[in-house]
Amino acid sequence: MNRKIAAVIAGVLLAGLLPGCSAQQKAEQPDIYVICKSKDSYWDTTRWGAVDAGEEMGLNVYYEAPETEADLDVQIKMIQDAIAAGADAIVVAPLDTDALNNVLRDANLQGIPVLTIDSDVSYAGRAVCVSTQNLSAGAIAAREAAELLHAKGEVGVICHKADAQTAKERMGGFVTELDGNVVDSDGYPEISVVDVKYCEGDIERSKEGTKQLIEEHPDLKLVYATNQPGTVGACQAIEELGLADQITLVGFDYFQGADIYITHGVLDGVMTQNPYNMGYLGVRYAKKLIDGTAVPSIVDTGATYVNAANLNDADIQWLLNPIVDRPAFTD
Amino acid sequence: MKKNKISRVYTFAGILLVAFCILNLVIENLVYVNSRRIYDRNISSVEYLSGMNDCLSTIDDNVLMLVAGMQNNTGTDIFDNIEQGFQELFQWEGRYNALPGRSELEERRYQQASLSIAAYRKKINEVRNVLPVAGSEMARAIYAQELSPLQVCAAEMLDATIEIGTDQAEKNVRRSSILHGISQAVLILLALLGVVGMVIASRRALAANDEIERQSEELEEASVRLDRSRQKMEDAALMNILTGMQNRYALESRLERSIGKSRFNIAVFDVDNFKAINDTYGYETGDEYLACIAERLREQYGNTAEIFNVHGAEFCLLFSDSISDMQAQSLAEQIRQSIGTMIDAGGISLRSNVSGSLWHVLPNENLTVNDVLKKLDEALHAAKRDGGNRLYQIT
Repeated sequence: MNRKIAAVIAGVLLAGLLPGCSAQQKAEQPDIYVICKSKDSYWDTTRWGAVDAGEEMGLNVYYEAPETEADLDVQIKMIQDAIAAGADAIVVAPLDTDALNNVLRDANLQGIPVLTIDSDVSYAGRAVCVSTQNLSAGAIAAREAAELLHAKGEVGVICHKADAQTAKERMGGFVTELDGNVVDSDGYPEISVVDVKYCEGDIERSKEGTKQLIEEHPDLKLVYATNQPGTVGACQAIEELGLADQITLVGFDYFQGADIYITHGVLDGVMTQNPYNMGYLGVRYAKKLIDGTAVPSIVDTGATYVNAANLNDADIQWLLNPIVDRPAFTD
Repeated sequence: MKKNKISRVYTFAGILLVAFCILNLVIENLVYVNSRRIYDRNISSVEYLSGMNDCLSTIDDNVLMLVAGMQNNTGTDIFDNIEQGFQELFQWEGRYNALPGRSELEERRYQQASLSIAAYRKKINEVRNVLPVAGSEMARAIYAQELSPLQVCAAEMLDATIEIGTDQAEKNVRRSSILHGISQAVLILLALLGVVGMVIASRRALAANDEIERQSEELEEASVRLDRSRQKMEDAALMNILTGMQNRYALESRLERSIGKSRFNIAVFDVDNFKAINDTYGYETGDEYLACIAERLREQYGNTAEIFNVHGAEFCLLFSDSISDMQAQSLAEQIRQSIGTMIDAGGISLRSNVSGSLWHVLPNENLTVNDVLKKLDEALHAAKRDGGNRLYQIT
């Protein structure tokens, strides 16, 4: 037989039997851009959630974040670049409630679905918001505080910002739950929020604010801190004052070393979010949108109250350290 | 030789074909078993995880009944139903855990689903004393803010686990199919190569056979040439070079076949004083003279007798069976005289007397070749002794 004919037959056979090369499949994978708020290590957890979802669902996940949470313009530029790059979906943790509306609208006009994680925007065109519902988290914190106070006593608040959405909601949910204004109940009439100190999310200022609260309100029984720096500052103040037995502290956002404060009774409990699930579910819902699957407009990733009683539970340990076995990102 | 070689080629081709078929069957079987295993595992996995998810939904329904302040129709405690739902869920979980071959991705997602379920169950137990006594709005808030996110998360993780498992199974089956395709292609190539090899081997065998046949023919030709050469040598041995007539050896050989078998007439002639011709005219003329005698005998008596030049100027004629004794006697005399007539040998006219002897040999005389020739010679010499130019008949 002629060698060339044999070679051609073999080639055709092999070509016919090797369907769908991996390069082609790679090209067909949707591109999902995940843009978070800053390069702070807190967001690594969210990033791993997004990366895992991409790996499991066969998606190209591109992660970006501005240096700090003050870089709003950088975040807007990143969204614009994602649109220009032909993103199939954009998942963003917005730095501002309103400032991103225009660029997100542009994305929608290009047929790119937009999802928010961690916090929301006022733009009605965003498809899904995957986050902790801060009003709910505030309410849960209030119920836990009420239980610690046996439904009686003065409460002071260390709030990070007067105009920040998360601060307003965490404050609002807390106060409303105690007042019983929204829910059809009497609330906790013997608990009163006597003062709020706005500390700009700064540890030192939060520490000072806590000391002021305690000094200005001798009958103060509980401090509620609305974010992580506030909680750290409050812990330091109570510890320095040696008032762990007198002052109850309910904080927000678990931090490294919080377990020691909890063990020593300085920090009675801390509301903990699930940043891994925000990243994971954000990308998962983005895929659902690309596939045309119906999705809810709000997905509550929940807020878990962590205290000495449940600190060592397996689910809590995973919640506190979801990426403990993962390598650090180098970019 | 040719048959052996071709037979070997076909045997090889047969073995190759059988090996091809067996290998093909083995690969087909492996691919089928593997695909079947993946398929069965995936079906079971989906069934068990869906069972867990259904249990979660049932538990959630019961939780909602609690939140809504409804009572169970069966009168049983709703918390008992919830716990029963979890026990059923754990049974599905046990079956799922017993399945082999979970991928790393599936395992990772399943672990998170499992932790979410544990957190959900724990939270239900935490609020079980609060929910029934809380006001309906409070109960709803607890459900929406604390229970529902955990239940939704657990359900999402279970769904994701199912999707990963299914996707992984599809990939494995696809990989298996590709491997099968490659194996088939390789086998087909092997078969093609086998056929090509067989054709090449056959052609080589045929070419070798042609070469052997050619060599055989050459050998045969050489053999024929050798036979001819041998014949020529034999002829030369039996031939008188000068006269081109058969010599004494040929005569002896011829007589071997006739003596004792049939009667025959044989005569011998010799030129009287032939030596004098050689001496007078030289050997060349003598030779020419003998050649002319031979030519004359061949022309005149070639059809009547076999003629031999025994040696020198001595000729022997073995008459045909059809010649009678009387005819032989007459012919012998005629021949003797014919030899003795004038002959032009190389421009020289020569004639000489000729003596001869004749014998009617009978089959029952118990003679040898030597006996015959000796007797003829004796008679011939007697004729010469008696003055030559005469024919003596042996009686």
